[in-house]
Amino acid sequence: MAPPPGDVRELLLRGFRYAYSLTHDTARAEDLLQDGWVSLLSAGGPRRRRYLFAAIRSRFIDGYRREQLLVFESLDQAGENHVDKLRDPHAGDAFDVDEDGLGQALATLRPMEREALLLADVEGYTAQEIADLTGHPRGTVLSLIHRSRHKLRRQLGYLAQEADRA
Amino acid sequence: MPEQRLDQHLQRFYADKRPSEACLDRLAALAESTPAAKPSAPVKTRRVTPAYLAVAASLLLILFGGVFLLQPGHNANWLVAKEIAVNHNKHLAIEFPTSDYHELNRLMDKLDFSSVISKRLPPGQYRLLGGRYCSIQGQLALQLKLQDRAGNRYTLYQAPLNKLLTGIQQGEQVIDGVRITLWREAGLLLGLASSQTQAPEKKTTNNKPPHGTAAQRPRHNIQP
Repeated sequence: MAPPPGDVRELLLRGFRYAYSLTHDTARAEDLLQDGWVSLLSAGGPRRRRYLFAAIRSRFIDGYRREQLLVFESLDQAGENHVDKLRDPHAGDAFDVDEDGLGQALATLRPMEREALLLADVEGYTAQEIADLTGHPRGTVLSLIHRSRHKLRRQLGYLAQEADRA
Repeated sequence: MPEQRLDQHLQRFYADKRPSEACLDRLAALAESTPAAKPSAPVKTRRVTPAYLAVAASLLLILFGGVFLLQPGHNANWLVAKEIAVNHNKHLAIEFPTSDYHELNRLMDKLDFSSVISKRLPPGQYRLLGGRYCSIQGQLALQLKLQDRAGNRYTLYQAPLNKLLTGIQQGEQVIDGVRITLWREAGLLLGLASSQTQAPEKKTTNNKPPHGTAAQRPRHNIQP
């Protein structure tokens, strides 16, 4: 059964945010959402978040492989044994940052790093759910999330220092 | 932003990200006009009585009575036409402005096929304005902007025939105020889109309208 119209819009909004985490660009995220949505509808797939995300991810990878703009770096598995849970050790640390600063810092992350942060910290996915979506081992996902948070914090700190100097 | 944890900052950052309302409306409308997926939950087995069978048969006849609806590739037909209509209405800018097809083929080197000059759209009557990359059903495709002598603008899509597109029926349909004609030519699927509100082109003796006259048009329509 198709979800009610309001649910469809909410699903599309979530799909857009996911696409935005991959592209970090509004226009490209809209295009990617449209491609993924059309793909999902044409395949007759269930109109649910995980299916839409999978369609968007597939389109993103296809498109960038074609344009050869994305270097598919192997995800480092070396650190996976050092992280045994999704919980952020600095989760309780509050700090101040404006939206532009966060946007700039996120722009320095790789698409897969932004994706991991969105799925874990915004969408509330478990490491296993992220692993299922991305096809990476759970340990690799945990490591990726840990490193992405660390990288984002470091970048935010660097930008804050730059702002203080200015 | 006030002092917050990293995940709260991220939640707030992404909560502010939204597509345009036009985009949201377009995609929501696409969902409404596309048949929903079958429920994935297992269906409980029930005893089928002749009355149920009669009702089911009647419904099937009503829903799928048209001959065209029973033809393979029908759903793909409608989805391709719908995708073309949606893309046409976006009025995206030309990425590679040129009036020369050979130049366009040279510029758009990521295509794994060459654009064709359609026999239906001779360059003498339909001037090429340029092109851009696009996709049809996830496949890399070419989008050409053309203009006729009356100043009407058309979007012509070209994509190599794959397994899905080979099953497309040639035909014409109007979706969201866009007239779309699909046909196969030189190993490609071609889709011509034009807004219905455009002024009709001045007819000359050798100047056939791009979508053909009523008599020339393929008989069947592309219906959802």
